[in-house]
Amino acid sequence: MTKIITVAGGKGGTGKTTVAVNLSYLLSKRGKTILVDADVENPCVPATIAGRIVVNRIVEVKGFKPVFDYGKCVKCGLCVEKCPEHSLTMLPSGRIIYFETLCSGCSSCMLVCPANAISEGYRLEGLFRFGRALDTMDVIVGEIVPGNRRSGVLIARLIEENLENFRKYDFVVIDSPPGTFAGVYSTIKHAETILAVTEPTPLGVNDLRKFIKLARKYGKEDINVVVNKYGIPGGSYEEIERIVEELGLRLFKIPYSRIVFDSVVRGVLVVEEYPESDAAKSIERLALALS
Amino acid sequence: MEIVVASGKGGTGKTFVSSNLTYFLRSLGAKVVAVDADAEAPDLLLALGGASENVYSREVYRSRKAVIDHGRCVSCMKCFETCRFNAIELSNGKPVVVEEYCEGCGACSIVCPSNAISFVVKRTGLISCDVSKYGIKVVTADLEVGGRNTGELVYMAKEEAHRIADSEGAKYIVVDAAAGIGCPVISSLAGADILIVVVEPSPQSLKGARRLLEVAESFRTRNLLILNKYDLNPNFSEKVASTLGIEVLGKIPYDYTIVKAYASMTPFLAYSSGGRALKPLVESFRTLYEGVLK
Ligand code: SF4
Ligand code: SF4
Ligand code: SF4
Ligand code: SF4
Repeated sequence: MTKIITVAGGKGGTGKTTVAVNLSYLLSKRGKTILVDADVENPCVPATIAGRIVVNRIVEVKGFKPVFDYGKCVKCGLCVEKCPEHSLTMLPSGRIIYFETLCSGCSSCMLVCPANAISEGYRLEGLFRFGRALDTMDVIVGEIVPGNRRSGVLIARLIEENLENFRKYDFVVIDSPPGTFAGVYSTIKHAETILAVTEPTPLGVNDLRKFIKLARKYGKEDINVVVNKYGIPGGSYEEIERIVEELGLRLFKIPYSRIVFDSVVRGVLVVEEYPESDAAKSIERLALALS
Repeated sequence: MEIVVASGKGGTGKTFVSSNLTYFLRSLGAKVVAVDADAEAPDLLLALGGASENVYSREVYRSRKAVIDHGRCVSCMKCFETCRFNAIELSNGKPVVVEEYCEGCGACSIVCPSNAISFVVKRTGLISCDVSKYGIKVVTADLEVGGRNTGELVYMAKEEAHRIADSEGAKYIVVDAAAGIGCPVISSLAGADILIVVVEPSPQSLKGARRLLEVAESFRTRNLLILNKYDLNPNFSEKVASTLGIEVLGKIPYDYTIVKAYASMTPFLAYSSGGRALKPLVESFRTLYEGVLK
């Protein structure tokens, strides 16, 4: 049975990738594991393990782009009219101008053209790198081409197009982007277990609330709140306890320590380098509870 | 003048910088409007002490979604084959629209032979304008959970801020951008004059900042760097500064007082009676004001 665990949580920089990497490393000792870096705008898994990934396949993810045959164009203007992104415009001469940065790649223009003047072209939207990480687990890293506005589409493809593949594993750990948009929906859509990583500040709590709202909107029941940097003075601990209790969620704490920050910067795993530390033990407990 | 605070990677201190910069400008007597463009996790108003008055909130309904009339559908699967966004799935041999994935592009309805596909407009989010505890107007974009069209919402919030700034004679607009380099960040950058990149000394943050600057290139913003928590790894901070090669506005040390200020929902500059970060932060803002904004 495959278990899909999504590490998400609303606010950025709370430690999602740290949790995802350490957790998947521990899970890989218990079963066949794949880690999916779905934070395609800024994938941090490679840096967090100092590049200890052997890439064995790179998939270029392509999107549609219209290619115009001006010889065939009858200047009817239908493509301009139907383009939902206003990325086409017609000059007084009747020539069609295409603004690629606005284009979503929906292909409506090609579908409505009565003269077959538009054909299918491609543009690179991003890369999926498949490989093996730390010698213990498989990994997929998604990365969008800078300037592309549709990270949600790329994330949806990363998850949906690899879903079959996921079924070959015992554990699939998805490192989600921050936020609560449709791309985050993709990462939780098929997940049995959600980890909402947060930090004990009013801002962390605020974003946690919005994220839990998203997870519950889609019927997710196994939501686990993971409070990183637990112990910083003046933290919003009561707030978090209240949310967890009210909604009947599970709570895990990762104590604040310099070791965690240093490990992240150096690209080593807390659970591998400092297995005796409190931080490592707290992630062990999390892994145990999830496996 | 529009100043955008962004980072590429989340959690490096964007909201910390933007809330305090806004507060700083305000305490100089300058008029300033703040925009929370992190529509998926908006926190700026909180960081500025919370709302003392809600000026208005406006629901935005702009997200077009396809709807299939199964009474008319002849199960030809053309829509399924045509949709480029995984937004049509098959359920018991019938096509169903996954609303979260639907871009409302209309391609499916063009190919549908039985006119079974129509469109509805769903909630995109909320735009609100509040006066914060410190008398600062904050325009917040708040995306519907699971929503798309974040960039559009950000544009609307910025337009709103410009309208307010014009009518009140405010010279500065400070935009707190989202994490990442995607749609909302691109909308934040469009039309901005100054980009403040906030980094922390980690390879992850460096990479995020590089990707951000790559995106910013086409917008011709003046780019400035704030090295946050620089003392956690001074050598790497130097590396970040030299790799990015943009003007360094300041280096802010790690300071527990910042967390405490957050905990009391007070801008650090209003809270601190002298944390380590106070002086360097004020210095950077002064450099910015004297050298660039004035
Ligand atoms: S593919 Fe879609 S968005 Fe792009 S030009 Fe054609 S109709 Fe417009
Ligand atoms: S729809 Fe085809 S024929 Fe009509 S203007 Fe566009 S490209 Fe030309
Ligand atoms: S409107 Fe576009 S995105 Fe939505 S289902 Fe139809 S083809 Fe897919
Ligand atoms: S294209 Fe129209 S008729 Fe064909 S499956 Fe889709 S909705 Fe049904």
